[in-house]
Amino acid sequence: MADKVELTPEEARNWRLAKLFDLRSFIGALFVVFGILVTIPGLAASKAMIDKAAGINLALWIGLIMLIMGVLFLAWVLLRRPRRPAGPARSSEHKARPATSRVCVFESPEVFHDD
Amino acid sequence: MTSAGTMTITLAGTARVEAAAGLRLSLSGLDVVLIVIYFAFVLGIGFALRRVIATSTDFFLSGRSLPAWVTGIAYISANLGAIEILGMSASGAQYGISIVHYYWIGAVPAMVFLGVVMMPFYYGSRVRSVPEYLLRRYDRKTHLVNAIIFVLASVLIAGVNLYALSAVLEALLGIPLAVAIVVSALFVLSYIMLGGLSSAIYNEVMQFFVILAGLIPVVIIAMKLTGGIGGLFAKLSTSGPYFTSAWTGTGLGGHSPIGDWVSLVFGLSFCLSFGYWTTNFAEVQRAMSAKDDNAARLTPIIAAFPKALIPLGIVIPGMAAVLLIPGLGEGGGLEYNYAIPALMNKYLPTGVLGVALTGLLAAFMAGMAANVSSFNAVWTYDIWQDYIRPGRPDSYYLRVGRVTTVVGVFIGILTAFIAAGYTNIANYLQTLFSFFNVPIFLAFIVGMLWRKAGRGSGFWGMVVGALVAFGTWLLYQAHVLSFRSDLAETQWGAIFGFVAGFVAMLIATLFDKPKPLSELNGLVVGLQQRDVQTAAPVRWYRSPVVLGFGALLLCALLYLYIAVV
Repeated sequence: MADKVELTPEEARNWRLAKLFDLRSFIGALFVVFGILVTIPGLAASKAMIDKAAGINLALWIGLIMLIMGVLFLAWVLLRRPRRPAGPARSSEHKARPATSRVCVFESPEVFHDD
Repeated sequence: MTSAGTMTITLAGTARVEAAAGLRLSLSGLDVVLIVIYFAFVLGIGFALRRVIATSTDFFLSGRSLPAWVTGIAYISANLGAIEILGMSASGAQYGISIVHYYWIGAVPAMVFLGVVMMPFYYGSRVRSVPEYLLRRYDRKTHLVNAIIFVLASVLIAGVNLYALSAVLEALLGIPLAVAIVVSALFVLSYIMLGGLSSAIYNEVMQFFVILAGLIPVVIIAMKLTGGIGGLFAKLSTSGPYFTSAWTGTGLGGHSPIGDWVSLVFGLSFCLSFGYWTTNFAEVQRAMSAKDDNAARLTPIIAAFPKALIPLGIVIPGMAAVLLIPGLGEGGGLEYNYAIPALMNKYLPTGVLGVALTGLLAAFMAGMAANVSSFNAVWTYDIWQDYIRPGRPDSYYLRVGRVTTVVGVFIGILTAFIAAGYTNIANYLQTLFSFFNVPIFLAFIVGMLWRKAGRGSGFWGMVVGALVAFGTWLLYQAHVLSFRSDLAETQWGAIFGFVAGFVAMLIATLFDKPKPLSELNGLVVGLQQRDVQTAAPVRWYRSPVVLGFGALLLCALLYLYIAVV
């Protein structure tokens, strides 16, 4: 079982970048921006805007919900940083070190058919 | 297929639309700014991810590194293209509530089955694509048939979707069709070229949340104006007995256009939806990119929960649009396809409308990106590497993958222009490819569960099954066989194809020695391989069986709810 594999310098670099470009940061940032931009007209909603949406100040509500969602995603990134890659998942090709982390029913060389 | 200009209901989210005018969105400056910001994010993600792509596995399978919530949302999102959103809300407006069958028995059970039963074979055997499983389980001809059909079908579907979305863009925004086709295609091309599958998946996940932010306000308003689901059903009760009741008229002698219960359960659910959700590489690829065995199994099951709830955001507003948009679906009025955009335009205020339209645009591109990113993987691994240029270094195949993406998108553009000129040809070709859907599932399920199935049997099951489904369709077109509706024909044709293909596999196996067990490692039941890390018991909230059961229970409760409301 290889839960702490040695990373090659390239993998270490990839991992640092992956941390920086975590999907959650993108979603969080996008929704904070969207939330702010939609909430502002919601704060100054005219009667016409509210009437259009069946009497609900939709821009305000949806804007605030998006803002909160964005903040939650960003908080999630800060609270749970991406973990170091474990096992072969992050390795460039699984044939590199498969046998250490996998159960094989048969010890057949055919098991890891690859190119 | 039932009325001109309405998108056919398909599981694959394929489109059959004709260009339609009549609805031009009124956007403010803020709405446009929101759209521009979103697409700047999309490109930004592409550039960011470009730096982490070092190998072909990174490019085609996201380095098998993604957590289950990401792959799960991508799994649902790859299907939640704009075609699905517009087409299924149109179907809701046209056929009523019985369209929920396409979700609650026509999708969720298949997703649960994929996660609980089939995924260990896909992920555990470490195949890199769906066709590659067939290569290892059967033989080269089974593999080649599947790979070629998939490659042709995905380029065609990408092209037809591209045309469909451009037709809608032309109608909603007034962008000329040709410009819309080329600009959307180049956009999809650039972000997949940069970030590969990761780019496609990241965008699918973002798009999922944006489309929710666009759909939820529509549902809120529709419910407020029609008095909730109960009030909506009461107001629509004049539209016929099948419109507000999912199961009425689905007896064997009944007349509900959606089909009878036998064809719904066996045709729609077991054959068609299992075929689509468990073997379509555009979907399964998302699960294969998961970081471990359990995350891969959870992928379709996590996706099953939003899938069960999506009809509330699509079918119900579609039905409400019958009341709220005067003239919808009538001659001279707006087409059913525009039910959701019309509601958005009529009720959403500045800003919220921009978010909603961003969601639709993102969904348009996500559908095409899913096709392109699965196409390039199958082409590179299953055709180029296996048959044309084997044994090159990995960096070579990464390059091939990038070139293939460019070529695939350009063929897609070409197909889109052909589809624009010859819509019928594109529709018939899509029908033709759809006949292979069920027999491919047959080959998988028999191959996984029956280790004696011979190496040539997969090929014969596929060919015979597809021919029988095709024959059923031909006889229906020639009025030799009759079914209550086109939908019912599709379901029965799938059942006939499945049974005939199964018989063909049995016969082929008689004349064929079974593969030795050593070649079936990880591929059939009893010989699964599991990651040590995840073969250990997982907590209940990460257990595919528990969550899968929960998804099925949710569907049962939803059926109960719409029956009593």
